Amino acid sequence: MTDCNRIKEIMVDYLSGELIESNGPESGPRFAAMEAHVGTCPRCREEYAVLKKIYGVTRDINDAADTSMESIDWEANAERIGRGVVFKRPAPTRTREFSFNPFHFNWSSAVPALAGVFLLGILLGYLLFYNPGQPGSSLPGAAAVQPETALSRLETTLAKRGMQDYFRQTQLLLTDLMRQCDDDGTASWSTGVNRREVRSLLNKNRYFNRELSNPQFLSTRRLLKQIEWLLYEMVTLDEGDEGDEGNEGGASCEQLRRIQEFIRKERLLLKLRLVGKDISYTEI
Amino acid sequence: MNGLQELSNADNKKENELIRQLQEGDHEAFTELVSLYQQKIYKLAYGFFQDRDDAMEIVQETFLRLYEKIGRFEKGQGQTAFKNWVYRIAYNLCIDFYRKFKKKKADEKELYELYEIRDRQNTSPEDIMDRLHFKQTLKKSVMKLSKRQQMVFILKHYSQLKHHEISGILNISVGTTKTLYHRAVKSLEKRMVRLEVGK
Repeated sequence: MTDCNRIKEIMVDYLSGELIESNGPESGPRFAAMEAHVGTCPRCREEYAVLKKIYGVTRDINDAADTSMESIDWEANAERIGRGVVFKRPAPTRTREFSFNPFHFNWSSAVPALAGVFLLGILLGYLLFYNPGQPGSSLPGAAAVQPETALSRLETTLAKRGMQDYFRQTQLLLTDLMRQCDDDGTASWSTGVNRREVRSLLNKNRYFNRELSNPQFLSTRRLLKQIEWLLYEMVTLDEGDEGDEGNEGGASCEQLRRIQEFIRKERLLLKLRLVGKDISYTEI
Repeated sequence: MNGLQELSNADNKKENELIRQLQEGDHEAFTELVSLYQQKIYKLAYGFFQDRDDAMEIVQETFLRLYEKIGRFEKGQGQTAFKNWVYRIAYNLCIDFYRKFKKKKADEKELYELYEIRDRQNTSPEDIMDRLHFKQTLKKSVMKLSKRQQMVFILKHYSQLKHHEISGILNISVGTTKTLYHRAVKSLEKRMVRLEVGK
């Protein structure tokens, strides 16, 4: 049994390459001893076969990783991540000390502000609790509506609207881009004008992507990632010269066609429409 | 001092300079650091999820975290301190991501893998199912190892690091790393033998 345990250690060293790496004078006889033992012990033979399979599978996974790495433009990826942090600067770490003394406070300047807050509170209460559907319940705080439910409902509605707006704006932008360079080969895509819009969409994209951590939104996150890539490409479109083919001071048709191809291949417009609809029916 | 060591010292010097520049807010230094480490992180994450998109997500998230926390990183903790720190961020992200999405991911992965394997015409359907089953069970078994054994196994197999490098990342001795690795493999082997026998 002790022999079997010792042999197992040699098996692991051998298969993980440690024995070959060390290449010391003992590595040859150790391997020979292991081979001889495996030849005679059926239990160790079975275990060696399983170990070999484990190492084989992990090697396969490594090969698959290497293959998938070949298709990635690492330079562009590093630049994309680098650009990404420009939109997401770390919050300042220093905090300001706050002290409040009611006896030395200038109340006269605070009165209008407090009155404003008070009026805003009344307005919000009215908007939240006023329910015209119920007969005789024009008073704020009708019993049927709980404040907590109303607040969370308002929050959910706003979040949904925000996302739907985002998808609608992206859809419009992409539809506009798809119309460029069609029959007559001219592009009216002005990089400077559109860049601001693309940046604002990028900011929203990053925000939503972070918020959707629930597994049920996995496909939405994937779509957001694809759109993020696309938006980065759009931000970096060259300004171009007026002399370029089909260009009026904006991006060249060659660049735009590359992006159009991606949108077509990934069916982004269709996905945007479907996910937009999905969100309106989803309980967040 | 041999040539290889001189080269390694030069790399360390460059890396330290980049870290200093980044801490002063230089974005180009950040991009250069991303270039230096992104492929290493990708391999680690790919070992975890066996999925290109997930691995890319971990790469991106690792560097965003790094950017947020770089102010807190202190130099002078040894030559490989930064590398160890980056690996730890990436590894913790992998664990979090796996916990959050494991159920959904497992279902999706099975489907993807079946599509992938279907294209390989020279394999029999039984072999395909057998290999797929083995791979999935291995992945689940790796996740059931103790945290330290799991980390050693993944860093050794998928990041292909040497024992002394792993010991630096985990802040343990080389001997302990070796012991943890042997235990991890033995434990996996036991589970897989049970699987093979139970077939």
